[in-house]
Amino acid sequence: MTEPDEQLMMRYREGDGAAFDTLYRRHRGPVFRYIQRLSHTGEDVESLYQDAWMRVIRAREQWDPTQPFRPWLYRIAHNRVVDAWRSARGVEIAGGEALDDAVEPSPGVDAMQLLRDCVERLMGLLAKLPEAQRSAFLLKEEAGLTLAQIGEVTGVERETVKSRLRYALKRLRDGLEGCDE
Amino acid sequence: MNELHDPRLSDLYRRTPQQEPRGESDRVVLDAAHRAVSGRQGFAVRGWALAATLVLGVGLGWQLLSGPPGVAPVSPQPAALSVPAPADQVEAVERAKTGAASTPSAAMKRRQSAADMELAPADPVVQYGASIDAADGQLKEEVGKSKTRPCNEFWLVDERSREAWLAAIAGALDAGETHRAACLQTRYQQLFSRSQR
Repeated sequence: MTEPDEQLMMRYREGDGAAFDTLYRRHRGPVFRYIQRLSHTGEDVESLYQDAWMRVIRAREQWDPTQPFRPWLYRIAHNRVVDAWRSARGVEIAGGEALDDAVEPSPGVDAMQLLRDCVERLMGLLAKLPEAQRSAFLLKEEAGLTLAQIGEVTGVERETVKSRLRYALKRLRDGLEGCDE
Repeated sequence: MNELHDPRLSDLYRRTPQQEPRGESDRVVLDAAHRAVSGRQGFAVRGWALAATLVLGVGLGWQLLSGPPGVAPVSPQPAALSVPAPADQVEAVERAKTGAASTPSAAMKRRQSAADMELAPADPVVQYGASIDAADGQLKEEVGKSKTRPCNEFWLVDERSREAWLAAIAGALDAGETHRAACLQTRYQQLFSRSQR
């Protein structure tokens, strides 16, 4: 049976380094992709990723064992990316900007090629989503968080999360026209 | 599908490249994580090491104080030994040797003053070269009584001589009086570990 994150984190806080290894292996991929896909082009993703985990290690005593671990982990990762945005441009996170023209589907290709194209288009569309919408989408799809947990991570109400997700999904669907087959 | 959940979109997202951090990042994070908690385990290890060192040190010291097995400890200055407790034991040993009943007044006299006690023979076992086995039941009874006596009754009047303390401890051990030996050792450590600081 898989040991819950919270139990592993408790063990780590008590000095069990092996518990952290398990916790890290479990989350390294999704956390990395969350940071990578939320970051702007040119940002040192590896450095942001390492920094986020360093913060987790340093703040381990501040984690409340009665609260789920995953939202706490992603809040730290999210804040690390937001800090990088702020230091790069000195502004707050944008709420929602117009989406640029979607990538046109490639016509006349077989199913596998179509799938590859769709995945590529999704990545392109995702990168062009406003940060708040992109964050909400990634926290749902990559981290598997609930609406309330996404609200905790990003510091907004559940209704705001719903609104951001709704817009994000609409933009993605619109841009992925032809990928339904 | 609802407005907030699109299974086809989720499925498509799952097919995006599953990038992962480089091995170097893994090493940096895991090293830091282990270092962060190694202090706790290190503290425990250091604690055990210190405890083991103390036990070994005390054991070794004890061996040195006791001398080689089978050799009775000899005090360099027997006359300087002035342990209050032996008064009863001296009497007991005398009784054991002579078979004569000692009068209570003799014991009382030995307890009268510190000066008297300083003149009293040193550790009775050393003084008479007798062992517990050689003493009769009366002696054993006297020794047994010492187990219930407060520690300060065993302390030396003149506390300054290390040799006197060591000889008294050795004598108590030889006599099988573990309670007296422990009392003497405790006082010895209090006196001389303090003076060493």
